[in-house]
Amino acid sequence: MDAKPIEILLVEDNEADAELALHALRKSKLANHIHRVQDGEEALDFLFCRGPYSARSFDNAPQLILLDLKLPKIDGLQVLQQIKTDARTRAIPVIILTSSKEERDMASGYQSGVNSYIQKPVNFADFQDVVRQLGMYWLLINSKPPASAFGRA
Amino acid sequence: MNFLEQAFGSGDYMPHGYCYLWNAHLVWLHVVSDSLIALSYFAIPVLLLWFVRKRRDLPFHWMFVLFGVFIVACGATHVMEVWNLWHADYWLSGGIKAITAAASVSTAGLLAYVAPKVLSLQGLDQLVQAKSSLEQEISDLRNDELRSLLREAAYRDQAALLDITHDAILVRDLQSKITYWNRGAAILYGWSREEAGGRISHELLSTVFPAPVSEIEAQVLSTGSWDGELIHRKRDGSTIIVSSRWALETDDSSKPIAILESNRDITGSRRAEKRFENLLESAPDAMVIVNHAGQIALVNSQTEKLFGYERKELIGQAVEILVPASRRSAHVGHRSGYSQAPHPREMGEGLDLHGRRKDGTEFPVEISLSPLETEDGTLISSAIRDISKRREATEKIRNLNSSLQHKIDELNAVTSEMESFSYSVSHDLRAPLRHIDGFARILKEEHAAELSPEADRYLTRVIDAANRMGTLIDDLLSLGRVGRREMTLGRVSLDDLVRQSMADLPPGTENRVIEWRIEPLGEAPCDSGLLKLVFSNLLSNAVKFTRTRQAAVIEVGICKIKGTPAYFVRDNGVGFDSKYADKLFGVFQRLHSQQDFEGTGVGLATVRRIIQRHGGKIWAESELDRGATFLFTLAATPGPSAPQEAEVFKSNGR
Repeated sequence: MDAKPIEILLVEDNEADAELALHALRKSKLANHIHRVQDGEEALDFLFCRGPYSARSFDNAPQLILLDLKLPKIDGLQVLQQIKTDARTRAIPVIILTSSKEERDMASGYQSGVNSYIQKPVNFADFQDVVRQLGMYWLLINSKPPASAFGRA
Repeated sequence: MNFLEQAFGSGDYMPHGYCYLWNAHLVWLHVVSDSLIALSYFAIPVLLLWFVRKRRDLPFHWMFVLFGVFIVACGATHVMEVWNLWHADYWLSGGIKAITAAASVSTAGLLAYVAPKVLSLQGLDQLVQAKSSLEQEISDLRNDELRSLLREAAYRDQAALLDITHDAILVRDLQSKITYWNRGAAILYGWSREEAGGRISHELLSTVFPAPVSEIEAQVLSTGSWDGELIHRKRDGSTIIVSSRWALETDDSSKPIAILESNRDITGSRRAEKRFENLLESAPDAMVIVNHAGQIALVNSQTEKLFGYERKELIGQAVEILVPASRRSAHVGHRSGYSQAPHPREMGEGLDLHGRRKDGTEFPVEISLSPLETEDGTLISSAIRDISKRREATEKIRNLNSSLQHKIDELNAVTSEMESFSYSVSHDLRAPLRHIDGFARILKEEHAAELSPEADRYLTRVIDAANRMGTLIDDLLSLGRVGRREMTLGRVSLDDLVRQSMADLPPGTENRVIEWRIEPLGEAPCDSGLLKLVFSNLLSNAVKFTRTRQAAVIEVGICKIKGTPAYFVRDNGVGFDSKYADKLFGVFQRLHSQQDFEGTGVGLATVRRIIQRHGGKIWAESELDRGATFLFTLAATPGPSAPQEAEVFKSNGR
């Protein structure tokens, strides 16, 4: 279906948020291949190569997942748990990008193994800055996990 | 040596058995016969010895001893006969026979010497006969005078004995004339024997009788005795109560001759009883005193009131009359069990005890039991308290508690609603703000060419409004969090908190001249995170409101107000009109315009909330344009109350 390597998977149900995030990412000129899914179920289908994404391969895992918490069907924390408890997806860095800065959300996120937790600033200039920094860090500075980290040869 | 060998060695002689040619029957005949003779001979002196020891009076008792020795010696010769059947110790046997011979000859000789003397002794029978004839002679003396002499002699003999007792004992004739007066009477009443003798006893003692004296005397004459209490007047004029016992003396023809009166002073114990009764009456509880048989011996007036019986209806009744019918049989068992080992205790602990009134109604009681040692044995004293009122009060408290619990549940429900509300505020209300800001900014920055200057200015307004609302939401959420957060109290260095707060001050003070006067504050029991918020808010306010000053002065210090440490933050800023002081700490309350001093009006509300949670107070003093001082205390009584408060908030928290 999509043979190009996906750099970022954006899990975001809100159109406006999605558009702003994509805008910010594009402006930072860091990622060209971004895939957006609209809810938790679609995110899991995409990552586990099933349902509409059954043609995908685990070899083509995204380099980074930007995950909203409040999602229809399956919420962000559950998506996170499934990613982090499965050996095939566990190594993918996941960043929670959400409006909420509730302590319990942060605590459950970190307990489930999230790699980073970022509250979306109201101010779009700040948001753009955050997106630029995290893209810089996770896509350029950080060494991505080797294939063996996914249990593949 | 030679002799010993002859005596104990067998020598060259043959054992005697050879003489019987070892005929088994013959040998055994000798063995058994000699053994029995020896045994009997040995038994006889033992019996004789016992007899002599018992009868020390026996004349010539040395004769019996000698006779005993003689018989023992005879027994020994028979033992030797048996021995020599198998051993040939004939020398030893001969020696023993020689001793026996000596004893026999001496006994025979002495017997011959003693026999005539024994014959001269009178027999026991003769003695007995003499005694009975003498008694006959005495009983023959049927003489009144002699008998009365004897009786007087008996009195004299007993007088010493009667003088030992503490009781007053007097004997009076039928005309009440005193004929005998013991030492006890002299001591008790104060008149000597000589003074009292011949006086009429009732007159001397001014006796007050419990019944007409004629009735009492009639009873003594008919039954021979009387018991009762009398009141007597002593020589010194004081009156005493005596327990009196009268006994009639008669002669052999049952004719009354005198009355013996024994009196014991019971004034003291009567008073003690009276005191005890007063004590019983003054007890707040119904007191029921029961004897070992479970009969009511004594009650107080509270008992009458509580149970509706009159005293006389209760005395002598089984105590179960006061117990509900359904519990009576069980009570009898419990009661006798308690009487076995009485000790003070609560009755039926943990049980619902009930009393029963005369009208049959029942009421809850609490009973404590204790044993009471008296002259009449151990009595059981029970204090009975009507606890209906207390029951009602307990019931009321229970109801109050449950309605309180209900309120708490409601409050918890509201709190959890508040939490989900603030969660959705945090999450959902911020999203549209981000969108407004985001798209307005994209318009402004990336489509600037298409915008008129006015449109650009409006977009700036939109962006400012969105950001301001974002700040408001953040502050409100922080206020909510301050109220809900669990407090962890510890000893915290306030100086550290002040230092941290100063380091965290919002940017923009770099170019300002601010003189900080920081006094050491020491430690206080508080939640460090929350107290840090207090200092951050107060210090940033001070910085903000001194912005218009050339040289800002901000002081942090500690003072004492009514013995409680109060901490203060003082500035020389614009201050406020003190008539608005009460509005200062309200949510969204602001005393300055947004143009002059930006702010949300949530900061001081948050501060007040934190101080209240610590059990303290916060207030501010100021005059317009002359600076402001914010003062706060922590727990009014630091220490014990602080953790308790933490407890309360914990239970009200999430």
